[in-house]
Amino acid sequence: MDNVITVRELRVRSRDKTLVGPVSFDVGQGSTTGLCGPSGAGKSTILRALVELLPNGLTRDGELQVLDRTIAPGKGDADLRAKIVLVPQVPVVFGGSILDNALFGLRHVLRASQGVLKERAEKALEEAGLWKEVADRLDSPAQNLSAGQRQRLCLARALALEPAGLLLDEPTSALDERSRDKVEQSIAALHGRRAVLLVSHDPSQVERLCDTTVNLDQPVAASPAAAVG
Amino acid sequence: MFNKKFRSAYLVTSVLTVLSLAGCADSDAGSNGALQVSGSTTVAPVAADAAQALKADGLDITVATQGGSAGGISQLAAGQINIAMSSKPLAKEDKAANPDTDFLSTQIGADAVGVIVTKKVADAGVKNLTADQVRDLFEGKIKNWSELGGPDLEVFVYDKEPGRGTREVLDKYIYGDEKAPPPPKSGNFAIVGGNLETRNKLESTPGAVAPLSTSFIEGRDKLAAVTLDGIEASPENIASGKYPMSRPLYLLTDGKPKGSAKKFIDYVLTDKGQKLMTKHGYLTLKEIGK
Amino acid sequence: MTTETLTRPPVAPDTGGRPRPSKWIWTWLYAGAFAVAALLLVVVGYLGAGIAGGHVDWMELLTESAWSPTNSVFGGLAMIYGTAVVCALALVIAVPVSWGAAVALSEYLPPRLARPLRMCVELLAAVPSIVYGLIGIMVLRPVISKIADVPGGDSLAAAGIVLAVMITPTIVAVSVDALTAVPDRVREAAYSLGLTRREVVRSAVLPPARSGMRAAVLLGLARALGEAIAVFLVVGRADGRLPTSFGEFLDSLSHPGQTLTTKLAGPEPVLAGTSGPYFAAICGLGLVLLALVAAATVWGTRGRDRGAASERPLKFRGTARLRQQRDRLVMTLRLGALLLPSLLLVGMLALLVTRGSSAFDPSFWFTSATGAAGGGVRDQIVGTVLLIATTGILALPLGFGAGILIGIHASERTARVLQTVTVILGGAPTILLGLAGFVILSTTMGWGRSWLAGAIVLVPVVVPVIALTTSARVRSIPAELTESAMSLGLTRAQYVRSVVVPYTWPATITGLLLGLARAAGETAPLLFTATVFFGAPMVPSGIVESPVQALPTHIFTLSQDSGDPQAVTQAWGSAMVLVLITAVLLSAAVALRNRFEGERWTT
Repeated sequence: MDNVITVRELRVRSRDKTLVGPVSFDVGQGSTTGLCGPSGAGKSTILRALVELLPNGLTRDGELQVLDRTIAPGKGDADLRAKIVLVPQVPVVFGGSILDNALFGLRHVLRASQGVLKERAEKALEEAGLWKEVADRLDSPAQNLSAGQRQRLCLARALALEPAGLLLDEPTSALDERSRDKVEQSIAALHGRRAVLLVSHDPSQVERLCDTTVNLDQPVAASPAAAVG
Repeated sequence: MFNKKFRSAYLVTSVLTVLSLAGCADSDAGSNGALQVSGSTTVAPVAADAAQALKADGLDITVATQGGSAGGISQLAAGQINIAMSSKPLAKEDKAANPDTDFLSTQIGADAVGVIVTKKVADAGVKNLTADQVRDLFEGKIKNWSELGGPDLEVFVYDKEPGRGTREVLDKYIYGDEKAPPPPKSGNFAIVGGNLETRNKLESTPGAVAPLSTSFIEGRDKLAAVTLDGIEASPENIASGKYPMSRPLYLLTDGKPKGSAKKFIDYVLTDKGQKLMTKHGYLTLKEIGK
Repeated sequence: MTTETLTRPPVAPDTGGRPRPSKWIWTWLYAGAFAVAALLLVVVGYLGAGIAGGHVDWMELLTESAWSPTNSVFGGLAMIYGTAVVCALALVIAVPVSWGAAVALSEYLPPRLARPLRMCVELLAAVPSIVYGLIGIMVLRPVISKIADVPGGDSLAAAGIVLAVMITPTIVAVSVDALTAVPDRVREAAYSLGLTRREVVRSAVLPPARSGMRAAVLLGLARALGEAIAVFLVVGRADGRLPTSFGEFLDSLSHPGQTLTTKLAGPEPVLAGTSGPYFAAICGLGLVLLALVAAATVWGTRGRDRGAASERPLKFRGTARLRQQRDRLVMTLRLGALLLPSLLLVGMLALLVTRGSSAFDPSFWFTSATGAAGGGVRDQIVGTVLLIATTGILALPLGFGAGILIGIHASERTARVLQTVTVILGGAPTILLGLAGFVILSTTMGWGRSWLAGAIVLVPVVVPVIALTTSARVRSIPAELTESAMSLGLTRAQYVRSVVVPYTWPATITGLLLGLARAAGETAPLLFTATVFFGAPMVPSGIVESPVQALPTHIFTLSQDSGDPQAVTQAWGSAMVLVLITAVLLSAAVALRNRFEGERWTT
């Protein structure tokens, strides 16, 4: 079985109106798939549809398969979200220290000793390319990190879950060039190890990072999707 | 998922119910044996001072003021307290409502209620009122003091809230055994509660009139009591029953007082106990010749 | 390279189950909501039983203005009118001032100044109602009397103003909470666009804080409707007055009137016995009052769905000229609005300090009372603290749970129903709580007068305040925060536990403080269920027949009928003690809150 995520004829609707789609694509094991399109095309909405985080009033239909499990619309739950982790565009930092943040998802999902948890969080920080910068201040407040560091912290706390797939929503859109390069390095390092679905409006970024590309061409005008994406 | 949530919430609710039922079952575990006195806020300070004095003798007494005189009487009838404090005589209705209770009233003093006006009105000539004049004032028919030979000043009536002993004394004086009519639809009519509030408002309202214990205007140079039908509220006149507006103060028991209840009532009747009446502004039994 | 990912220990809880599944969260939340509903049900049930015990002529109750029990006339229209006028007046005065002051506190003043001021405002909410009433008598009546050229000055207008003063602290405190919850990045972003402070506040800060600020007004309204003692002292309580023309309407403002609450809090519910037409009519009035609160709540929260679903488009009024001048004007107005409560606080403290100076004698605190008005108030202090602490412990989990449920509930309609129920409970006159508690706890369950009964009766006073402040804060949780947490694989229960609770609790503490401050000054329900004037031991030894003495009831009894000047001194001293105790409690909790609020979650 090669595909982590299989999507067929996926649509996002508001009542009877189709806002996004239909789209079909696969994200293979270890591969990085780019999801491209102009602003308002519904890229972010599709990511949210995959993990059942659509805003109220929107529904998905079409076929979605994660690993070998078929997820019927509305049946995606917390366990699905722990396997396919969405990293939103705005890097949200929770209260508490850097380590607390890195552990935020994991400690709700994995029953293990504090030592094991911490080890995994540290490994994830390393995988996200943040370890060197924060190794000496894991216990200091996460609020003090720069925007680029925050983005990588969000990546790390997703990676700590050891997800089968990662959904990255415009991970570099709010960053300066240097931070962007660092985040891109971290994403590139995932190649071959994780299934990644990367949403980006920047074709060159997609070209740099992705094996395959899905283009969402038809923009959907005046949709609530614009508000969420 | 939803069902589960409901089930657990239901569980908690039932646990709470069981707990409260358990509390119920526990209820006859015993009371702390204190003598319970409750009722009129007028008598409460006297009772509290008396209870304090008796504390030294090992008497455990609680004083409360829930529901005023009427509340005290109904609680006594229900057996919830040992002594009721009352600032009005027991009414026929009270006896009728509680046929099983053998109310026994012990008078401990009296309170002279005056019709109080402001000094300005009194000085201008309103020194005496007849029962009819008082009635017309409180019914809003007399609107200006000049109608009674006073200054050209609007009348402002403060009546006591229903259930206050003072109000009942006034109603009895004006209406005898008849029902009082509804309050007047005048803009210069308001209701007051305690004696301190009444005095405060009388002093700050020109042209005000209100029923109030006469002791509360002693030493107040802005207020004056009028004579009623020419009779002054002196202890002699109250003792002889000539002054029409006085109210006796009582301690009530169910049957003859026994044990600590008797000790308590006896103390209030001693000289020391009667001094407390003076302290809180009321007339002692001796003063009214009883 | 086939995937370490899959050979690793399974992350999904297929095998061992999740750590901290936090399923108990739902039990807790629903228990809270059920408790709120059950408490309201008890009050309504009490009223319903009263109504069933005698015939109520609803037409008469709702359309007739005269009320005269001795003549069997039971008309409530004049009271409904009085209630409407007094509450409308209070809101018209209090809302602009409070919102202005809240914005000034949160957006204009430096934190070093704002924090102590904010605490002072919360302290104002803790001043016992009777003190507000006495100040109304001393200050407001003469003013009304002079302006309207009427003798006395007991009037609907005076009552409205007193209520405005009383609900201002509540509205300010809850609004400030809503404003501080707006993340700083929003302000930063707006300032960096070159907006003036006024424009930043209007277009960036107020929109996300709006739901919280509306909840503040609802809370204020609930308090205004439920408040008795202060209104009692200045409204005149004259029955049957109803204007028939506009002139008479204006005239009625400066003359005595009656409200539903003052009627219910007066002696009549007790005089009316426990059945028969009189008592039924009183219970009918209670139901009318609850219905009014419900109507006001529904009306006040209407349109919130629309506002939340689609952001209201901002109005652009062309290029604003005189931006700087306007900015300065608005700043002056807002700081001015802050000045009012500050002056009030200073005046009130001055009054309390001069009249209640006996409170500064340590022996007043540490000796027990001798007789009616001698000695100290140690036992009353202990009793009050015991009551407040127990109430707080009982009310906090219930209010917190109910508030979160209102805030996060998926269905907007359920949330609204719950919210309405909560506000109604908050607006229920406390005398009704006292009477219901008396019937159920003291009589039926045989507790007699018991401190625990008193604490339980106070719970419905505190729970709505906690629930409403909490739910307003939950609503202000940024969507990104929720999404980030959910996308990390948290279940909804875990989300509530790890995100909602920590994010919300500073607001909950504010609610608890405001609620307890209000409970601390409550008299009416305690008189029936828990306190005696004299003779209770300092610490009760059990539950059944174990009364305590408490400061508010002590103040109330002393300020009634004693001719002993000592009684007045003792009453003011006790009021000062009550304020000081609440101040200490407040500062402790506020210090705690400030420490944690500094750790604001940002996005």
